[in-house]
Amino acid sequence: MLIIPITLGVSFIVFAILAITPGDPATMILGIGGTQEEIDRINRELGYDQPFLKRYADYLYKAIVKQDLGTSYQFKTTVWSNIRQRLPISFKVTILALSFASAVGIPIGVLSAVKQYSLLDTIPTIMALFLAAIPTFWLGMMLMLLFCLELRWFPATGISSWKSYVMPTIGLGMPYAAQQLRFARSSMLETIRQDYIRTARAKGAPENIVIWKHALKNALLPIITIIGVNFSLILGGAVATETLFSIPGLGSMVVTGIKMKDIPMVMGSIIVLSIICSFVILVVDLLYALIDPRIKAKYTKRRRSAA
Amino acid sequence: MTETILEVKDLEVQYKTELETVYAVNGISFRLNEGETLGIVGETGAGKTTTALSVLRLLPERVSFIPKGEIYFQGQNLLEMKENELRKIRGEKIAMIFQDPMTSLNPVMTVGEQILEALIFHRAEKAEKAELEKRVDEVLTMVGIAADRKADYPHQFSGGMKQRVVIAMALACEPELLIADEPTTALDVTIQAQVLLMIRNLRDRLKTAMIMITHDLGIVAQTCDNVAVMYAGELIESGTAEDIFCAEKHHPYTEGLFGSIPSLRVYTERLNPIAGLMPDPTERNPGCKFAPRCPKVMAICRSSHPEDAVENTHRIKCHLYSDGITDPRKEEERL
Repeated sequence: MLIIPITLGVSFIVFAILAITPGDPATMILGIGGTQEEIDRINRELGYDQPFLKRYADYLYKAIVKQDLGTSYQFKTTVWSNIRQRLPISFKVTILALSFASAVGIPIGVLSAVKQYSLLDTIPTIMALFLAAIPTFWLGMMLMLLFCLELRWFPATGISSWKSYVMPTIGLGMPYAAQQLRFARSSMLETIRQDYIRTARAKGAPENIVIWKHALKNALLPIITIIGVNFSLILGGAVATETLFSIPGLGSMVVTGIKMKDIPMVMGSIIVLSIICSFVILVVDLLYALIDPRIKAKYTKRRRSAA
Repeated sequence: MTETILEVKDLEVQYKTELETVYAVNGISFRLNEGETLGIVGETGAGKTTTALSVLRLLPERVSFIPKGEIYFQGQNLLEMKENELRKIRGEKIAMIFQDPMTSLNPVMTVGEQILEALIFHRAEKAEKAELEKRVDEVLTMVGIAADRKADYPHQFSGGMKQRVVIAMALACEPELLIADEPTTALDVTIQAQVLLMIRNLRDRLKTAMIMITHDLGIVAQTCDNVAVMYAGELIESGTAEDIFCAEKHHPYTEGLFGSIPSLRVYTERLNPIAGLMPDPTERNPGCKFAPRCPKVMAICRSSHPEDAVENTHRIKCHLYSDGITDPRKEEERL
């Protein structure tokens, strides 16, 4: 149950960074034309004449006790309504991209581990190296040029139908597919050298059962870890892809928020993101226990001794 | 005369990497009859495990090669078999008990599942699942583990218990040949005795042929009908247990092995090891492999490889016996 301290810590750091960096919200709200009196008035209204810690305490009080994340300076709507609008979209894109990455990366990674040193290994490994090196925005742009503008298979921008999710999923998922391929490969390579794999073969197990049942289950832990980490990364960090395909997601919202000194917006999004990430980590931990009975045993023992 | 179940003829195994070639097994031959037990003894690195693994064709892929030799199991050459034919033999007809019980069980599957699996691979067409489950309970009880522990995972068992599970797994399908690769090396002495006794009893009850790989001569004396002494990838001496333990004449290496066992009756200040180390397995010399360490080394030993000297069941690969393994009395007469 580390979610609460983590979220508090994150919020404090972000709040501090926003306070330290130059520029003040009032100037942003009014634009360059605002007079000094107007700026001072708005700063007072928003509470920016108060000291830093007082401001942070006020923010926390409002956020926790009144469950009010404040109002966005740019949109003049509540932060929560903005997040609620964008979060599902980001969520959908993240899950799609990750599913794509896993569906492509893990099986190919396993295969290339099993067929180590063959063409089935070298080609995917080299491809993965390339994909990991290519910047997301460039890959996205190339995909867009080819499939959206030349072939016209999918719409280039927006989120009007399921078709519009195809390109962002692939563009966003590709580098992660490459990464998961490499993880799956190295983890599998380690596992298939274990003694129990030889035991399974000695029992007369068919090769596909040896690989997909005995080996993969043991190799899965590091792969799941990396999927969990990637989830948090994509959810809030898919700015390039979101911008490119004009997807109204959380990542681009946070970035514009930072540029516009829209402090409540940025704070709100980041707090929500950090809570979600903590939950994802929790889910990953629970999956560990589900896969590896040794980890489960450790937890149950601890609970027993605590009781 | 009983039927031969396994015959290995002139087997060679090499491990090749980009840097070097390791000559792990260099032309060994032996045969094993139904229901008999062969003990293979030798130092670490003598090629015992490699021999065992090549019988099951479980040598690591890509680095290991069998340039020469034949392995006949019930008349079929295992080295020419296809993978799916081999699968029907592995576990069903030939089963193996591995050296280290700590790592040879899959940590994420219950022991019951792992034993059941062996049965499913070979018996699924003939029997109902419930029957197979019953068989799992049976083999677990047979090795002295309560049947209700089959839902437990390997980490919940002690080392000796894990080895029992491994044995149960190997015996689940009642194999005709059991290969035990140092089944007790990883266990402490008291557990060793228990596990050995159990293996022996089960073998006698099931009439399984067995290859017992070990470096413990005591185990060999207790368990084996025939003994083969391996050194640097060769069988340097083989014969019945009597030949090895009771006969007068031995290969100098075997003498060294026996000489290194401290006697209970004679006071010894220090143990008597065989001086020196095993030759580098990446090199091939023309002479006898044991020549550099041999206390009875002769000029011929360094230049020419000895042939087997045979007397009935007893074979010794040594120049000392190039005129045959004669009785000491006969030797006197000739002098």
